[in-house]
Amino acid sequence: MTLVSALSAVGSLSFILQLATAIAAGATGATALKGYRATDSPTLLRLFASFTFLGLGLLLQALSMIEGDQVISVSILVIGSALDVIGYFLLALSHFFTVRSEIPTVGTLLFLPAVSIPSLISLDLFVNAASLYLLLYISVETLIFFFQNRNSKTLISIIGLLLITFGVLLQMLSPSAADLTVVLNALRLGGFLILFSPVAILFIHRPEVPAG
Amino acid sequence: MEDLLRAVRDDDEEGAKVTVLLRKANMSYSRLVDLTEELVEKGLLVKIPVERGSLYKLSGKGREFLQSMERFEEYAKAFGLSI
Repeated sequence: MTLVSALSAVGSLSFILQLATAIAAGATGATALKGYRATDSPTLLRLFASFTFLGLGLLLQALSMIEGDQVISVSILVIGSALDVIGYFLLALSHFFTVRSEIPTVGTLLFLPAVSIPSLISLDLFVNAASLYLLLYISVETLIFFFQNRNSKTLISIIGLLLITFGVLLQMLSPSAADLTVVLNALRLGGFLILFSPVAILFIHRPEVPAG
Repeated sequence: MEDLLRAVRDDDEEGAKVTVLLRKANMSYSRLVDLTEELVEKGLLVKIPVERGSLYKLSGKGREFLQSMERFEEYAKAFGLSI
């Protein structure tokens, strides 16, 4: 097996993993949209918008892997990563709007990166740093919610968030390690599949609507 | 709104009286009257005229809405959010 064919095999696997992650994010967003239509809840609307941006971002990142013009490929990758950041920001914003009077200062941390934007070294590093920061914020807020409500499903989501966060952290620490791409994408897929699990539970335990 | 629908559901067999709803939903009389009228207009509650006042029951649509609300509350909770 030549190096080129080995790399393309890794590329194909990464592409499949990214595509599967995009589908998982899209399905989570679609369920949130269904919930918004049924309840008119702004939280579910933000959740829908968040996972739609994440799904589109992941889809673009997967498409950027298809061989083609280098400039176009990198541009698609950057746009995809930027859409991811918007998705994480909307998810973080949902947590910001969830009132947690016990710890009022945590929410203000969401806007802390605005102070440190001048540390923009490269677009790629900035996008990853923003994703990492937002994911950490979402994880902490979700953890606080878990301690307040003791909901086991929330704990499962925290595991998913931590997997995605670990993936982004690895990507930042070793951005040029091609052999890590599959591991990073597998971590992200695992994380998004775990975040998708509440959707599955929602439909498995669907109660019957009695007549009345 | 969900609190009022839940309060109505608790007394759904015979229909809920306004006085009971006032206690359970914890809101002012005028707010309760406005909200029940709004929910009747939306088809979520059924108003049953009785000798002294009215009783309220959940309609099929109201029952379905409340169940959707409770299901998606659990869904949002899984993400550490409230709806």
